[in-house]
Amino acid sequence: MYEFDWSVVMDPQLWLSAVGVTVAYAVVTSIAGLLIGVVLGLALVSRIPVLGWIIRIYIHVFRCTPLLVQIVWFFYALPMITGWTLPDWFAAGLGLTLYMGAFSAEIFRAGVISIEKGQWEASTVLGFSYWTKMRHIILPQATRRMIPPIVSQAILQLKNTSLLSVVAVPDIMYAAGGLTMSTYRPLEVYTFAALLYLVVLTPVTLLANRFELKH
Amino acid sequence: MIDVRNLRKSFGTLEVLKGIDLEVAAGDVAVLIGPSGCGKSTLLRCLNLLETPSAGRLEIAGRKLEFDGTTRVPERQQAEFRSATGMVFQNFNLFPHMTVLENVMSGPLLNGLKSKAEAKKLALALLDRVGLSQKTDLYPRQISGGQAQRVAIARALALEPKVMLFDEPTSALDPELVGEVLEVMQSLARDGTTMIVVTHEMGFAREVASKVVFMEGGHVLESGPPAEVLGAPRTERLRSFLSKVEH
Ligand SMILES: Nc1ncnc2c1ncn2[C@@H]1O[C@H](COP(=O)(O)OP(=O)(O)OP(=O)(O)O)[C@@H](O)[C@H]1O
Ligand SMILES: [Mg+2]
Repeated sequence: MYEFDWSVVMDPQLWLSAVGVTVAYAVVTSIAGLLIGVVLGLALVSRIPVLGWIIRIYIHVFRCTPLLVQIVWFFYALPMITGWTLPDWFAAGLGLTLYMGAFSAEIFRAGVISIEKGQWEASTVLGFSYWTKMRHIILPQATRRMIPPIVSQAILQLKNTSLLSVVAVPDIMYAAGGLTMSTYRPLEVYTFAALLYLVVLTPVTLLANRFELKH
Repeated sequence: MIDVRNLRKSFGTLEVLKGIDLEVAAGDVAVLIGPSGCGKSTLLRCLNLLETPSAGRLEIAGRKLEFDGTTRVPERQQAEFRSATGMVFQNFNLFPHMTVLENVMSGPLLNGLKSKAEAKKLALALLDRVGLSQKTDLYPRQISGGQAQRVAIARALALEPKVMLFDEPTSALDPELVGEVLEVMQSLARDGTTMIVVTHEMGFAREVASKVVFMEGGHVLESGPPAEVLGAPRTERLRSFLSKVEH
């Protein structure tokens, strides 16, 4: 019978900084990814000919390959191929950012095209320019529909930061890996790590539910 | 006011309008009737360029366009041409995130034609005209279909179009709400608004129309004053159509 020994996880300093790193990567890459998504999504729905195809290929590649590979690739391969010297913390976040960008471009596009044709036609008939329609008629309605999928994507993003440990980013999972090595207590350590993700994400989810009820 | 010559429209290989001629004078109320799928909506949508005609000529309030199948009218010119017409849809198409008042203000305001105060003043006057001055701060989901359609009429009027186009404005309404919308349209007609109305309301055609146009299969089969067209149909097609709609 296995005896749990929770004393091994008692290292507040380690966990605190690890949670900080995880949250920082999740927030920054989510926001940067969202910005990419908005720009690409707008380009997609305005049907710019060649650019549209390039964006679609980008979305497809990032949605259909493992995030782990993307992270590793942007961390090691990109600097090698281009000769750029990127700071490690930056290169580590690139894969996650572009991954979020691909998903949010798709969410954005889906949100815009979910608005009924009648809304476009009514605004065309009223003489609105393309950008007026987008800004005042389509986007205000579409963003409401985009918020739930964006929140769930952001939640995934926070959990996905656990993959950053492969490029030695000292996040929760990396801390857990290190602690396991020194204590040989993977069960306690990883359970505690999972608890930390839960603690961070619970308020986010509650807030999102609250928002959905309101709208 | 409106002069349509030999207007054609195809969707792929399907030719929906097969050479339509239509004249509507200023102050006229033209009622378009015909069986489902004969091209009534398509004709209206060609008049404000929601569809680009494949061939023919359009003239509305002095603005002329000619089409030959390859014509691409630049955005700016489309908007200019469109500003002559206002359109009311079967499904209202109000903007759900705006109040009744904001819906009616949207045209002048978002096109930068009027200041906020001027747009509001105009919108309030128009809402009063369609009998909705009590509903200005409600959202579209909070009002009835009949009220929504009257808001849509006011929204179109706010841009002071030369011609109002109505595509089955009462077809989505519960029967008891049809009357209030027809009344508003009738009052517009009395005030001399030029209108083209697609409808199955034969009572409206008989009482309000100055001209009835019967379409079938992409052609205009008969057109003239209601007494003539509805009272003494010349074609068998129209006779059988009328017997169906007038139960
Ligand atoms: N965008 C489109 N693409 C392809 N076919 C279309 C399109 N719009 C209309 N049609 C076809 O054109 C024909 C005429 O349609 P239209 O909507 O003008 O008829 P209608 O007279 O308004 O009929 P209803 O009384 O049912 O509204 C129909 O066969 C329809 O399927
Ligand atoms: Mg129709």
